[in-house]
Amino acid sequence: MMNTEERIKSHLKAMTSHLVAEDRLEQVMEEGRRRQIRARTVRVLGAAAVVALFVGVLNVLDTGPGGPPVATEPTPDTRPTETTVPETPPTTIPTEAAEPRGVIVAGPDGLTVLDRDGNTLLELTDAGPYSNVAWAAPDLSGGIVFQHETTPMPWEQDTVLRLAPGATEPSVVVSPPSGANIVPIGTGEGEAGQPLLYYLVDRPTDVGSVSRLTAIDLDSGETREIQSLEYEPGVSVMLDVGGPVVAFTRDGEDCRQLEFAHISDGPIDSPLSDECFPRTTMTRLSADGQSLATLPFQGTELVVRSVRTGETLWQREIPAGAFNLTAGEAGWAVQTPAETLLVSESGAWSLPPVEQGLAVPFVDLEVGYDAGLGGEDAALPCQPQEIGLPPQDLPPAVAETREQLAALAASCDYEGLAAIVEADGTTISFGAAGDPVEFWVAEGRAGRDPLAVLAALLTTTPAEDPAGYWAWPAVHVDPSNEVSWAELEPILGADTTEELRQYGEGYLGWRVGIAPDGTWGYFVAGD
Amino acid sequence: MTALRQATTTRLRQRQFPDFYRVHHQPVFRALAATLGDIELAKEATDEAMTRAYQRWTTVSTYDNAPGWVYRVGLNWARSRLRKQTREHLDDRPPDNPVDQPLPDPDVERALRELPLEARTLVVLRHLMDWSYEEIGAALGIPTGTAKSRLHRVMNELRQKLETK
Repeated sequence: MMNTEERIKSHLKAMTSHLVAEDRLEQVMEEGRRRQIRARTVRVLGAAAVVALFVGVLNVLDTGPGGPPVATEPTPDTRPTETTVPETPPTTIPTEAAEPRGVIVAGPDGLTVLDRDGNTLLELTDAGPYSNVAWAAPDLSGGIVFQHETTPMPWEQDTVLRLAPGATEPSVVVSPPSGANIVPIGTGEGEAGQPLLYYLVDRPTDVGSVSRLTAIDLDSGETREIQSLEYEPGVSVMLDVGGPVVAFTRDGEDCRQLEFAHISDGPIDSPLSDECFPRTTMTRLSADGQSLATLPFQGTELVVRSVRTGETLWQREIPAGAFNLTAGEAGWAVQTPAETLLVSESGAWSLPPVEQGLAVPFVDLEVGYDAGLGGEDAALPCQPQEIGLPPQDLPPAVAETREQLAALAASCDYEGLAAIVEADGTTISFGAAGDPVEFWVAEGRAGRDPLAVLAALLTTTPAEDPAGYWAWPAVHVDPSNEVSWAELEPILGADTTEELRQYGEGYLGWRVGIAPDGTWGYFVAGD
Repeated sequence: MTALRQATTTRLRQRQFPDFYRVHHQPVFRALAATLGDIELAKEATDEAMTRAYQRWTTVSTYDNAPGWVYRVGLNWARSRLRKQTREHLDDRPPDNPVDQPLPDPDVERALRELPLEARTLVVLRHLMDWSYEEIGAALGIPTGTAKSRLHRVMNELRQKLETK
C-alpha cells in the first residue's frame, strides 16, 4: 500500500508522462534573438536618446547655416560654444572605395571574425577580456574597438577597449568618469583621416540626463566634445555616425525624421531631412557618412541614398525577416534569422546567421590569435608535473595511448597532443578555436589548464562507455559510481564534484575517451 | 586544485542553450501543465519562458537552478495571462480533467485541485520534478526553510484528506 507521498508522485507522473510539447527550439531562439537585438539597439541608441535634446545641433539645423557649429571643446557647460560656421561648408567627407571583406561579430561568446565566404577567421572567446561583448566596430586601422555587456575586472563597467592591430591584449580607449555611463556610437574617419570613436558620456541629473557626444582620436588619444545633449521630456533623439557626419533621428507621432551635421562644419542641408520615414524604418549612415541605408523593419529592400542630394544611389533585394542593420567599413550587414547578408554597392555576400549579437562589416583587420594568447613571448600556462599512473586493466592499445597522453600532458607538450588530435580526429571541447593548441593555451591563460586536467583524469578509474570507448572518469558512463565520484573530489574539489553530481543530467565535467584500438576519441567538457 | 575547479565549473555553466532546451523543456512543460491544469497554456508558457531564458542566457546559465527559473517565469507569465483573460480558473483552480486522460487516482487529483496554486506548485516541484527544498526555494524565490515548512503543511493537509477516505 502506497503512502500519501507515493500516491501523489505516482499520480502526477501518470498524469503527465504522456504529455509532449512540440520542439520549438528554432522559433524560441529566433524570437529570443530578435528581442536581444531590439533591446540592445534601444539601449545603445536610446541612451543617446534619453538624451534627447540638445541645445545645439538641432536648433542649428532648424535655423540653417550660420548658427553655431557642432564641434566644441569639452566644457563644463552643457551648451555648445558658439563659433562661426562657413556659409558653404566644405566637402571634407572622404570617399569610400574599399570593399568589405567580412564581418566582426560581437556577442555573448566574444568576438568572432568571419570572411565574406562565411569562414571563421578568428575567434576570441576568452572568458576574461573577450566574453560577453555587447558592441564592437573596426577601429579603421586594422584593430577592433569593443564594449562588454558586463565589463570584466579589472576594467570599470562600460569601459571601451581596443584591440589594436598586432596587439596581444586589449587596452582602454575610454572609461567612464565617476557617475557617468559610456555609450559607444560608432567609428569613423575624421577630416584628416584619423580614426575616431564616437561615444556618449551620459550623466544623470536631477531632471533627466546630460549626454556629451564625444569623439576620441584612436591614434593620439585626443578627445573633443562634439555636442552636449540635454534631456527634454517627451523628445527622443537617436544618434548615428559615419566618418565626420552625425545623424540625429527623431521619432514623432507618425514619422521618423533625420537631420545631419558635419562635426566641424555644422549642419548638412539634406533633402532626406524633409522626408517622413515610417517609425520602424532602420537607417544607418555609411562608414564615410556620405550615404544612408534605409530598410523597413522586416522589409525586403535596402535602399542607399546620398545624404547630400537625397538621390537613390543603389538598392538591393534583402531576404525577408531582417531584424537588424549595421554599418561598418565599406558596407552594411543585414541580420536575418536565416543569414547575415553583407552588402555593398558592388555585391552581396551571404554569411551564417548571427544568433546572438551584432555583425559589423570590416575591410582590414590585423588581429590574430595572439590577441587571445598573450603573444608568442608570453609564458605558456601549463606547469610540467610528475604523475604516477596507477595500473589499470585495459586493452593494450588503450593502455598505450593512455600512457602517451598522460606523458604528453604532464610535460606540457601541446604540439605532441595536437598531433594526435589531428591524426585521430579527436573531438575536443566546444569553443575550440580551430587549432587545439590555441584553444588549450587560451584556456590555460584563463586559469583553466586543460592539460593538467587531462593528466589528472587519466589517473582515475575508467569505464567503457556505450560507444565502446574507455572513458575517464567512470562517472561519465555510470553517474552512480561512488568510487569514481570520490576520485574526482581531490581533482575537482568537493564543491564542484557535488555540483556536478547534483546537476542531474549525468557527469558534464572534463572527460577523456580512448577507442579500443587506441584512437584518442575525445577530450571534452560540457555537453 | 583551484584551476581544475574553475575549469569544470565554468564549462558546466557554459552549457549551450540548445542542449539546455532539449533537456529541460519537456520536464518544465509537464510541471507547468500539472500546475496550471491547461496543456495549451503550459505550452505557451514554456515557450515564453524559454525565449526569455535564451534572451538572457549569459546570466540565466549561471543560475544554480536554471530550469527552476524557467518554470517560475512560465508560471508567472501564465498567471498574468489568466488574469487578463478572466478565465474560469482565475481562482487558481485547474479544470476538472486538465490533461484529458482517465485519472490515475481521482482522489489525489481532487485533493490537488482543491489546493491553491501556490501549494499545488510546491507539490508539483517536489513530487513530479523531484527537486530538493533548496531547488524549490531557488525556483520560487523563497528561503529553503520556507519551502520546507510550507510543503510540510500542504502535505499534512493532503494526508488528512486522502487517508480519511
